[in-house]
Amino acid sequence: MKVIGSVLEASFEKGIVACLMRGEDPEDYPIGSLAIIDTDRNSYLAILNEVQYTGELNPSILMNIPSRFRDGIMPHVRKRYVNYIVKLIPIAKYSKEKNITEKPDTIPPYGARLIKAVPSEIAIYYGEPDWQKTYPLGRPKLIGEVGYEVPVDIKNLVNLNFGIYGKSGSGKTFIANLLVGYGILYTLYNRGEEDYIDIRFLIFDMHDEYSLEVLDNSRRPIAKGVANIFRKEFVIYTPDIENSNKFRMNYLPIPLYDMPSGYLKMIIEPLGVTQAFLDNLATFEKKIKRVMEKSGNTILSDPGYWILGLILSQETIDRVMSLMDRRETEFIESDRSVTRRSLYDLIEAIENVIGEEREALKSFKAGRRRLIRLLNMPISFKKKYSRTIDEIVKYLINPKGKSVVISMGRYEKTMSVYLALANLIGERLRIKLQEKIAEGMEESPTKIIILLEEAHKFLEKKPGAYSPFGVIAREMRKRGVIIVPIDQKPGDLDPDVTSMIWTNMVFALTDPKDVSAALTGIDNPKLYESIVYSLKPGEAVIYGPAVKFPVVLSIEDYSKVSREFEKRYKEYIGKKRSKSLYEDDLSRD
Amino acid sequence: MRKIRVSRYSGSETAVGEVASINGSKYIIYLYPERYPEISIGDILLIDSGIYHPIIVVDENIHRARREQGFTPLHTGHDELKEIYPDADRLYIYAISGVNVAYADEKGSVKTGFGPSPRLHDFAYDMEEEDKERLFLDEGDTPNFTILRYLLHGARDPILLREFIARNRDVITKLGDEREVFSAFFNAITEMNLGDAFLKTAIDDFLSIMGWRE
Ligand SMILES: Nc1ncnc2c1ncn2[C@@H]1O[C@H](COP(=O)(O)OP(=O)(O)OP(=O)(O)O)[C@@H](O)[C@H]1O
Ligand SMILES: [Mg+2]
Repeated sequence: MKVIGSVLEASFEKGIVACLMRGEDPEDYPIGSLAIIDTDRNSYLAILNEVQYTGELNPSILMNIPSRFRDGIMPHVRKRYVNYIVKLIPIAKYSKEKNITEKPDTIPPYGARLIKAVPSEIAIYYGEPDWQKTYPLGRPKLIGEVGYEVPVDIKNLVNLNFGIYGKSGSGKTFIANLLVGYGILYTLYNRGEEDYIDIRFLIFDMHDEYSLEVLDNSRRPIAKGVANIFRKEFVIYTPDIENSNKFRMNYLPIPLYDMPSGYLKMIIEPLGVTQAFLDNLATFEKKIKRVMEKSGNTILSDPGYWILGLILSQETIDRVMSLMDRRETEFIESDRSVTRRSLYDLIEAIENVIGEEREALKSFKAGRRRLIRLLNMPISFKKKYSRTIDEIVKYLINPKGKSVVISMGRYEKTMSVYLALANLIGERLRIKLQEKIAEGMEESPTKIIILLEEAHKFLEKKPGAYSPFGVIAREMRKRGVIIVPIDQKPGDLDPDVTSMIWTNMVFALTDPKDVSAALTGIDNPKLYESIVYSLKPGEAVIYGPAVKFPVVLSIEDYSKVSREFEKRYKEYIGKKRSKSLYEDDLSRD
Repeated sequence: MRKIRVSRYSGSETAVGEVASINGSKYIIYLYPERYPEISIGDILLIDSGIYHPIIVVDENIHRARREQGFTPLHTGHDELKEIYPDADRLYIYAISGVNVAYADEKGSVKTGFGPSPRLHDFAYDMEEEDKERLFLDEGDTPNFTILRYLLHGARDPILLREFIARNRDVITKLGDEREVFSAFFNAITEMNLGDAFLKTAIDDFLSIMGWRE
């Protein structure tokens, strides 16, 4: 036990102030490190949140010494004239009498010993990963020590919403892949056990980092994405037709056939249409459908194509024709000129009906112009794709299903496509669950965990804004569905949602607004701010039920753990195969 | 560890005076009249006290007439007076006071600090340059100025310090690399609570006397 200092001040509000022993070097004390404060009755685990000193040598004396002599005297000056002060946040207390760890409800007495924390002592507080129920999350910063892994408790993690925050390049996607891998292993390893949870992930994978490869900061691939490792546990969908062929993913365009206006609203809202247009959308739907039904038009009498009627105009007619050429519609017409004429007729008929109200026609035409952008998106009017969303929901809910990744491919930067697909799936899932609840379902048979990158696009604080994910976050937790916002700007998230996030993984943030949002829910958030500002890539403050006590971790290197995943998955598949072979033998007897 | 040669400090031949009184760490040495011009403030004297050899630094000159009224200014000056009265010096006391800063044992090992007190009439000697060096080195022969703490304990006087450095400049120069020597000096004087003004002056004086001010 190495004593490195003594407690000088302590309070619940401000934490603990200790003075380091003479000769200690402040460079051995990284912010965020764990240390222990030892008294005769208890040990307190504490996180270092400030190191400071004041030099008492008169600067005019120091500066009067020629520079070549200054280095030589510094060791002495430091010893004699400098008090190194560290500040610490007490986060846990181990009672020596009762032999238990708990939240601290006392403060250590004056002069209590500050000692270096060694791994074996820290394990008393956080436990150790067993690769069954708990898995290594990262290494805490210690003063001059390494080699201990703080476990994440998967059951506690997925029991409640959790959030991953941090600025770009801070490590969010890395940890998300890690946690998904652990969730999958948990489900594989605990089948049939008392604590079994059938975890399903729904991952909106903007940059193909879950479905294909995780990239480093120079965008070089460094490890397989988690769904690419646990291949059989995932179905991967993509709106990128090329990727779907190249990587054998399921093609998932935005399915516009027979889409109700309620869903369409969510898709076109980000395209900048006016509120009036949105308000009228249901009426437009009704009227367009009526026109189509009555038109007697051989091609377009199916009201399922009403959205085509919505976007069809003189300007877009060629592009709608090319949609047909690409076989994204199912009506067949061999004679292009006939088709063209029918489409013109349809435009006219629709405008006539809507034009019964002059204002409505104006808003209709303005909105229609905005919807041209829809034609740049991967849309399809094929009937079969309108069932894909249901298929995805089924994968998630059905006990025989799988986890789902939506891999954005070439649309990685096209937010409107990402929003459209996510909202469609989210809404469909929400409705399906609510139907089941109405039918008497208490809880989804599977635990559905929705990873939402760029979460603030869905969970923004905006009066009147609707998002299926907001409803899910607020209402579905008890039904077994949780939301995992992954975001660079937690300050932009709806506080109603952030207050419902239990385990928080806070990577480096720079905006005070984001820092304070990310720290709602920790005791004494002010004390942690300096730590959050100082985090390096791959380091995070973790708090909430998934870890026993708050901790600053250098998160496990996903590229290393991913190899462990591959190894374990292979073993698992091998075992499963030989087991089923064996069972086959038995049944033959 | 370097030692000093204590054997060469014996007998009245080479002595500069004798211990006349002792008051704590301050000793009064009466000098032989013929030797007094050799001794100045800042000089280092060694006293042969049998087994131990206390070492002192001269901090004051206290020459005076033997009796209070025994001195009259005569318009002759010292040299002329001596021609008229060759015994004139006997009427005077040539004395210095010194601060005990170290002592050597019979083998010549030097320890910084107060040693056993000398006896009255013990001979005092002007220390040889090569032996003085030992006073500024620690046991591993690296520069060390702890001696200053004892010197300034007895007399907190920036001028005394200045004189001490000046009188021993050559010895100090030979101690080693200037950085190492300066650090040793700095460490020692900052170990006492001298106050900023004293500290500043002390460092300034040291650097300029040593010729190390850039
Ligand atoms: N746990 C970790 N171990 C090692 N390196 C890491 C870790 N976490 C992050 N890094 C490094 O930081 C880089 C960025 O991490 P990541 O892609 O997870 O950032 P991000 O927060 O998802 O950023 P963005 O918001 O831009 O998506 C990684 O490519 C890797 O080089
Ligand atoms: Mg990312």
